[in-house]
This record gives sequence, C-alpha cells and structure tokens, in this order.
Amino acid sequence: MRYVIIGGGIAGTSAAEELRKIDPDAEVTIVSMEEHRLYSRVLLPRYVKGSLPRERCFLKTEAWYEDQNIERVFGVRAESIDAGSKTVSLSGGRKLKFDKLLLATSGDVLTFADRMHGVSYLRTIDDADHLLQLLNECDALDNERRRAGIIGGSFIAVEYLNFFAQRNIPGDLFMLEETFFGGALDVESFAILRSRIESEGAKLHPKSSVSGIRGKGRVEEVVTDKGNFSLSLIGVGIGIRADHRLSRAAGLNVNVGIVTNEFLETNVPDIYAAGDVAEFYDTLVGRHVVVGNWLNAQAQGKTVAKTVAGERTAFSAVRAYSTNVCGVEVIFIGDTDLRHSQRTLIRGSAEEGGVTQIFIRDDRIVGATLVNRNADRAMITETIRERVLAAEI
Amino acid sequence: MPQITVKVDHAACSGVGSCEQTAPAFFKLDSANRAMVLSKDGVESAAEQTLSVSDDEAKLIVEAAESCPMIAISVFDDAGGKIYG
Repeated sequence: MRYVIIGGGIAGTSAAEELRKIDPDAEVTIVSMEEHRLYSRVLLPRYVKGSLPRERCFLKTEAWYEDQNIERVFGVRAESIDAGSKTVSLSGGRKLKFDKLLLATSGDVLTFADRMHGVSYLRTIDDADHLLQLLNECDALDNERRRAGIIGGSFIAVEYLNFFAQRNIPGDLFMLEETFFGGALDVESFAILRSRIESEGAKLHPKSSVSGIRGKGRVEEVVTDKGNFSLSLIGVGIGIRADHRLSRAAGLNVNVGIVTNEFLETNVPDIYAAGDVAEFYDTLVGRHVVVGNWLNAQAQGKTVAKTVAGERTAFSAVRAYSTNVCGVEVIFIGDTDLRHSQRTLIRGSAEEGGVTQIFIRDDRIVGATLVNRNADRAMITETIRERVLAAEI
Repeated sequence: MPQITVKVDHAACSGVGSCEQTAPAFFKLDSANRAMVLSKDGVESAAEQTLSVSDDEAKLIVEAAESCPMIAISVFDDAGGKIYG
C-alpha cells in the first residue's frame, strides 16, 4: 500500500506515525513545502521570549523519519493531483503514485504591504527567527523610536502583545472588530483583557483600519483611520489563507476548506483531508467547520490514519484552544462562531474579573469563551460532548 | 509491571489538552487549566506521580507525553532514567 501525505505539520506527521503503526509494510511519504522536520508551532512564542532554545521546538529528530521508514520529500510543492491515475506531481518534476492520499496542509500567512524591513509575521520557525532579530533591533533603539505596532485582533496578534510587554516596548494594536478574535469575545471579556493589556503599556484601537505602512526601506510609520503612528516594528496577525487551486483542480469539493464528512473523507474516493485544511462535519455541533488549532490537527491526523488504513473511524472531539494574553487566560471551547449561534449567555463580569460566554444553538450549548474562568472548562466540555440542553444547566 | 514517574512542568503547560485526549485515564486538566497526572484509581491528581503500570499503559503515557506540543511532560523509569522529556 502506498500512502502519500501532503503536509508535514502535526496533522500530516501524526497521520504518518499512526499509519506506520497500523501497517508496518506500507510505503509512507510526506511531502512538505517547509524544509524543516516537525516542530511545535505553539512553542514558537516561548522561543521568541527566550525561555526555550530553538532546537527544543523540534518534536522529531532527523533519525525519527528514518527509523519509522517514512520518506520525507521536503522543500517541494505538490503541483497537481490526478485523481484518476492516482498521481501527485511535485515541483522539480517527480511524480508520486498513491493508493491513498491525505491532504494535511495549512495556509499561507496573509501579508500586509510588502515584506518591508521591520514587518513581522508569525507562522513558521523562520518567521520566529526573523521576529527575534527585529525585537533585538527595536530594543536597541532610543526611546523615541522604540515603539511597535500590531495589525490584527486574533491569536497571533495577541501573541505580539506578550512579546512587546516582556521587553517593555510600547505598542499600539489596530483591529477591525470591536473585540478580540474576530468579535467572538463579548464586551465584558474584552474589558478584562483591555484593562490588563493597557496596564502593560500597550494601547488598543478597536474598530480601526490600517491603510498602509510607510518608511524608507524600513518601517517608520503606520497609516490608520485613527491617525498616523510612528514605530519601527510591526507585527501582522491577520490570518492565513489556504490555496485550494490544487484541490479544486483535482475535483475535490472545496468551500472555505476541503469539505469532508465526519470520517474526513472527501468527495473523491481514496482522498482524505485533515487538520487546518479540512472543513469537516462536526457531529457535536451539527455543521461543517474549519478548525485551525494544534490539538484538532493532531487528533484528526491520528483518526484519519485509521480510516485511510481501512478501519473507518469518525472524528469526534470537543475542540479547545487556550492562550494567555498578558497573564489573562483565555479559553475557547467548541463552536464560538457568533454567526452560527442563536444566543449567548454571560456568566461573571469584568468587575468580578472573569467572564464565561456560552454559545447556544437549537437550545444546546455548542461553545464557550472563558476569560479567567478556567474552572468552567471541564463542565462546558462535558455539556457539549453530551449535547446537553441549555435549560438543563 | 514497570514503575514510572510522570511529571508535568506547570510552568510550561498551557492547557492544550493533548495529554488528556491521548490518555484520559492518566491525565486531566485541573480547574487552573493545567495538566495533572492521575493516580491509577483516578482519584488523586498531582503534577508528579509514580505509577505502577502495565507495558501498554506505560506506552500510552509516553505517547501522551510525546503528544504535548509544549514539551511539558517528562517520564522517568524506576531507576530515574529519562524515558521521554
């Protein structure tokens, strides 16, 4: 059996590892655009903050791939998939035949303006190296120029707040929405974060838009509808976008992500999708969703491997993601997309220092955001898993 | 039955939950959103536990430790040698 996996991140690598366990004799090949062996994207902030050496971010050694007899085809791009002849064509001309194909890619970071010196993105370990260099440069400037900015209001954008706070670099954050995470946070939760963040020296500018970054060769100023701000470093965290041309051309059903059922099977036989790229049917919340976090990608990689190897297994897990913003713990559980919730309930308040926002659809709890209310995590996870009616809690 | 010591570094743990997902009988996130190691009867939980486990259970615990993207979990054998972490 020949298994080809496109994507060398946690979804693809977990799937390869699981496939090897199930089928010791199979050919397993991972194709990845990145040259690096598997590393932990969630550890990159610790590396940038200096609390972890770069080498420790890597989760697999070079020898691991050899020991597992997993072929690495890294630093190349898959250019086309022929579902009929079951062939993937790679940049450089190589063609890989497959019996089963797993798409486990992610997306390219959305960029703002050019890659002008002083503009940082945080997606890969190379981006983290670059940011570290920019932070060191900014740190060494005189007080007047020692300022930073952030464009965006989601998970990556808030990481920049932590980096700047750690070095006492004053910063301004510009985001389109009224609250963080695409507006998913309620105003009370946002008030808690805002007060903590602003006490650390940063300034938030909700409902603001950035029209340009100016500078001669390097960043000097950001132009916004709230005025122009001088700075010498700007972190951009406005999301990622997957390139679906390959999948569409192969005849796959693509919406926001590659559409799959709960078994992570696409509409084309013997082609599967897992991780960030999959728009899978989430049986717990009753709709197709795209989930871009580590735990989901890892769990889907392991689950899809079983299905790929012939033991058809539905994916079902209550998704969760937690982050820490300037010392405030924020947890997302389940489906927290406001557009798909019929109402929300708020427990706690900014005054009490903690808020849980519960998302309800069809009288069932489908998700929650927790700000400084970690203790609610277990109960809410359970209510989503068990599809408990909101009236029952 | 091998005896192993499982240790979670709470300074590194960020509550991702991959350990709990991989080996729910041995790991659980506590009310502070940090992973705790459960005793074999599932009653006691602590940042560090020494457990007598079967070979399969030991394998599962190491797999859970390996699944942690924060590299916050270490596993030691009964002689104190590091198995993972």
